[in-house]
Amino acid sequence: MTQETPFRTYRASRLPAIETAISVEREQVLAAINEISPNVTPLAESLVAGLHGGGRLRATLTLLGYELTASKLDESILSVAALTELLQVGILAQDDWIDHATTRREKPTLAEVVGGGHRGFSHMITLSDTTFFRFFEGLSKLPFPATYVAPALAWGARTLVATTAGELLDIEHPHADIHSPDSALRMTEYKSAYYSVAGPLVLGALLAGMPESESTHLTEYGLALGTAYQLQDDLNDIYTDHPGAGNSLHSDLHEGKATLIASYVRAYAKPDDYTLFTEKYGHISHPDDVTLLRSIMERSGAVTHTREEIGRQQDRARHALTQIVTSSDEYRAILTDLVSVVARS
Amino acid sequence: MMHQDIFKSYIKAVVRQLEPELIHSLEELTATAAQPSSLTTPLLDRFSLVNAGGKRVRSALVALGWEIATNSPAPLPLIKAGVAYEIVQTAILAHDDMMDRSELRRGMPTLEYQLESGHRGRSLALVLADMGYFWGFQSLSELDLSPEVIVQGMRSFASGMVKTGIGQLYDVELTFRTSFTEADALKAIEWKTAFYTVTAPIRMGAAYAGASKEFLDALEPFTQAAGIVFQIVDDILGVFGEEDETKKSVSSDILEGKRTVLAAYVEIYATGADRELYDRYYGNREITPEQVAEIRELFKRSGAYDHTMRLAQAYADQALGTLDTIEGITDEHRAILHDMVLFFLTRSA
Repeated sequence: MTQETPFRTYRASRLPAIETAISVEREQVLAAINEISPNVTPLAESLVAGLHGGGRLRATLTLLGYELTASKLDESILSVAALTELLQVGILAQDDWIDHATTRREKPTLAEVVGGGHRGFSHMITLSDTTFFRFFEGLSKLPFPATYVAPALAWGARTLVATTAGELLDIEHPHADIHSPDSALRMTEYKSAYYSVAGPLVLGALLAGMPESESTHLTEYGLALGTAYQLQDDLNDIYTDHPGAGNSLHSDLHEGKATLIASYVRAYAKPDDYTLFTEKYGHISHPDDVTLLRSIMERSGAVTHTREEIGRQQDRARHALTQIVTSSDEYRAILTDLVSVVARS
Repeated sequence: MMHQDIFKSYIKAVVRQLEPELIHSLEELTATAAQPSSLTTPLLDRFSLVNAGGKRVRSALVALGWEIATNSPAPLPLIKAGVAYEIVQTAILAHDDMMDRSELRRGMPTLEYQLESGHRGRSLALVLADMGYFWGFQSLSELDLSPEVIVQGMRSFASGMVKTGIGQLYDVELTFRTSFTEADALKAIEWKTAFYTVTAPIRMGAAYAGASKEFLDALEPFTQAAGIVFQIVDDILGVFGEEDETKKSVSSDILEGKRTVLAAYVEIYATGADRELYDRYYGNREITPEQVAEIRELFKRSGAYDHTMRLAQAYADQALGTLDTIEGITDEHRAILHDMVLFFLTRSA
């Protein structure tokens, strides 16, 4: 049974409004694309089908950032929450193509749905680009004061620049000579923490009028929390023997992902283990290989070091939290809860 | 009617201010991307490289949009807005070239071909171009202007980009259709290039100046017609241009089977052996340079080339006709816009 926590309770209470806002955004995107020709309708429908399902983490964090600053929900912030989910559809479509993935949540990926091969690739790029542009268009049309919207636009763009820097490293790392734990940790922060946690949380806060000088604490909190979650996710990939929603079983091991755990193995494993690891990581051909890689990760200390790093990131988040001004203790409790539940995620 | 290089001189003057700012912005982007790791630097160097050599039409039009609306020279933030537009343009071209499988652009290998071949090179090019988009949006959000003006400019830019994205979607979809008409090809041009190349930058510059919606709307029939001229001629140069001048491949449109006005004419009117030749070679990536030349010849003898040139002239006439009806712009700006249309019509690069 899923345990109720302040964050889960908060998310559950906001989900109906988020889903309604996503439906509105879905219709707007469909109408905008269909305006040019009914021939592109199937492409538009394939894009918005990606809005179905998912944990709505980014949408929820956008609302949380807004409410912890403004104390009450404004209808317009719900449209921003929906935009973060649309953006996610575009980002995932490209990620999947880069990772050679053909399915997501047991359904074909966007590039596959819209034709596969070069045709699917071409449509996928255009559709994902359109989600990026729509994100900024939606933000620029908000009825909030320009003094709130302008910093939010800048933050949204900075978040995505950081995310793409992380993505470049993710592609480069497995092929680079330098792959230190420090570098892997920074990649995690840039690729995942900005985009998944700090980005939406601070976006919501700025749109509620949080001064940029104060938002640095929330950014620090979001980056630490996002990093901790991603590292836990990396551990889950190794230890979960049944696929979770949105993830393929042991996908990091199959793809040879440049995770912090892998970098610890490279830094600390004994020569024989290092050789075995290099041979099997990203080249799994038998279930026993998973067991072998897991053992190497454990005996090299990589798993322990990663758990310790998660702890350090939780401490970093808790420290940042002491500096954050919230509109009520209810929201502080939610932020505190998010840090505590990392290891159970 | 000869054009007198007024527009080219205008671009030149903007470029003198723009280029140092562009270099500075790309250096900043490279430094920002290197914050997590310097591994990104060689990649950003490639991205910076492919920013070189553009015509800078769009950034000049951002400045011109401001000048038309205010009758005063574009200030530095508008030049920087033009820089952002150019960087986004490079990113758009990188994605376009990947879709078209083009290997040459601005006289050098396209971004994808600057990187290593295969899936990894494509992935890096895909993400680098995304980064170019987001850097463009970031730069526009951080201009030294009031928040109100920043948001106004962004609204104009982002809406234009959405329209361009939808136009591109339509254009790509058209490529995979078994048949198409001239109206289909023109619709893709209207939504994509005409809007993005002429209407959007002028609107954006004028939007920064606080121009009224009525004024922006009054400009549109002119800017759209001028933009159509630009793209029709671009499609002609894509087949009949000199690579030394255009700095891009003059066979990739044929290999990719691009849905142009030229091709639409053949689709409708060619019969017998000509139609067979077209069906066999146009859009066939395996054909030889000699077969590419046969398609060029077909475009000439079928009348497609002459028809397309006449169409470009007709849109130029339409643009110039509407230009005379626009109120509230100076004779000097009217002359620049007039010359711009003639430049679009007669350019060889």
